[in-house]
Amino acid sequence: MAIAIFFIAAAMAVAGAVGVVSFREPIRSVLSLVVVMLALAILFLLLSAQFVFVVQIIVYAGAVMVLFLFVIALFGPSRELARTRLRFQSWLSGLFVLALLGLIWAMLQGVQYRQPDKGVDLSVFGTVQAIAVGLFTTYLYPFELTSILLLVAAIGAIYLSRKRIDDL
Amino acid sequence: MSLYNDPIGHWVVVTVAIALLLFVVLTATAYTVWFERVALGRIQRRPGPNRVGPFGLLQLAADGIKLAFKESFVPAETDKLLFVIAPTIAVAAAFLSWAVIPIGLWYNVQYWIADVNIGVLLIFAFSSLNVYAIVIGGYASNNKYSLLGGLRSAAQLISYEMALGLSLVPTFMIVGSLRLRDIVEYTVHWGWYNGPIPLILLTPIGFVIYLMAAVAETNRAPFDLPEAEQELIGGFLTEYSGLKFVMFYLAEYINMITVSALAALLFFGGWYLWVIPPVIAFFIKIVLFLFLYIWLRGTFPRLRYDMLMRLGWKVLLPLAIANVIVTGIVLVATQG
Amino acid sequence: MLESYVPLLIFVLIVLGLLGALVTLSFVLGPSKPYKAKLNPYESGIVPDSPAHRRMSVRFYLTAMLFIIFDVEAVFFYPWAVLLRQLKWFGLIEMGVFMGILLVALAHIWRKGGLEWD
Repeated sequence: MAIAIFFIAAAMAVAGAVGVVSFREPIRSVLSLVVVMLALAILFLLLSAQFVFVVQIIVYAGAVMVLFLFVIALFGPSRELARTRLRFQSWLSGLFVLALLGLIWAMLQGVQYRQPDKGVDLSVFGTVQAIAVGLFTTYLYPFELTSILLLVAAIGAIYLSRKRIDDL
Repeated sequence: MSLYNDPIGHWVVVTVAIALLLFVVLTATAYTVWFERVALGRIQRRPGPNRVGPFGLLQLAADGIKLAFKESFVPAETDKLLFVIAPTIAVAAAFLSWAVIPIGLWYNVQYWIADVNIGVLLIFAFSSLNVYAIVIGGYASNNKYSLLGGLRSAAQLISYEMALGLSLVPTFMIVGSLRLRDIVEYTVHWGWYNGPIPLILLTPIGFVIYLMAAVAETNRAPFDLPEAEQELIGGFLTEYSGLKFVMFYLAEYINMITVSALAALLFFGGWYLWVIPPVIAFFIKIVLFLFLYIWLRGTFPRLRYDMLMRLGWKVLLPLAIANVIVTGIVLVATQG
Repeated sequence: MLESYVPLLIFVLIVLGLLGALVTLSFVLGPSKPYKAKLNPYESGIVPDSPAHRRMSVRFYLTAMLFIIFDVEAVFFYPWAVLLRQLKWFGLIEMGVFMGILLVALAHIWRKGGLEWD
């Protein structure tokens, strides 16, 4: 059953990704991206990463995508203009797809599929408590650096929009 | 995994239980609307609905059937798909929270659908999807008041979502778990008293923040800005009619019951109430919270939009952060 | 562990079925007699004179951006809160540093008027 769910979620993710690039209305592209995010959340859950699963929904589907949606809604339904095309565009895109497929294939060569480490208690793996232990002991330094990143983002956002506020 | 070894019968029971829960929530929604109309009527010294059935109890059935047979049209020059998806997302987001809300225990049998380690966070995750319903509903209506109402409402939702999340952090600190069942069954050993306590005694400020944020999250008066008739007609609901309007309405009332149930579980000991049987105790607490909601609507005038945003960002957010810090210090200091 | 999520999956499927039924019913039940005036945007009876979509205030964008920042912050709070009893003072100091930096961000936004709506 887990395998069936994996393939359904994976198909959802791919279909959503195709939707993002093929829809002409930006708002539909945003919704397709939300589908991708939800599908990724399901994939995390299948890996027993329950906390990451819920954070994926809260942060990506619930916050980041909302920002995208706001920006689209603020600008109105301006359809994407696809009048200008590069020369050999279809050939180039085919080339890139092939290159990407080759890259993925090359990456998969080095992957070793293995069982979870011996001695790992699978019943607590991925729980909030387990994540917290890692986050606040082993990975404390990256965690503190995140706050700097958020500070930079806050300052960036305020300066980006301030120019506009003064104009109004 | 035991999942594959389980007899099919187990999952049949689960499926029936889910169907039953959905039915109960739907029925409860209808009676919440009846309760609101009667209570509001009494607050305004008028009888409220009293014609259809005894005490007007069938009024909602009559309204529902009438609305179902009304035309539910899609406005011109709009994205039809998005217009239909918006109310669907609203109802889905509202219903899904009930998957992790435990109902209580009765004769040592406990009732819940999914009992998961991340409990409350899952409810946050599902309710955060509600923003899409509102923005897309407003966007796809092809009406400037709908769009503005949708955006305003969405900005309100996300602003109060943070205060809501942070107001519960002290509770998680005290209990040490996000699982709703653990929070309800948190026991203290104070002298001769051993047993569960309502957690509001330990985080009163958290409860006040939760209460205000929850009213704003459900778009209820006095924070019902999306439906500010004087400025926005009906906000994002303006162009919706028939069953699609019913779906938005349904979602609003389900959300109202959800936040009431959460308040009872997180701050008032859930299904524990003296000698009263658990499920009934939980029910009584939810009804009291619903009444509080209706009472607020009957008493307070609507806030202005800038006041609303100021309250969220400049009062509730700093207060919630301060509450987290103070509770943390007290908790660690007293624990030694 | 995964078994505890199977009821959730069943729940999602049942809700999706219910919603499908509701949406279908909304088209099947009830009459369908559209005409031009009915399908026009409703603006309290006045004929709309401008398109519905125009550029909106940038404040909505700013609010969403700030929401992401504080939402990410809140996400770090949950695991910390659950583990605080074990982390004790060490945990408090850790989170104190994290929160201190974010309070600087909040103070900066506040001072620059990023929280004003008028």
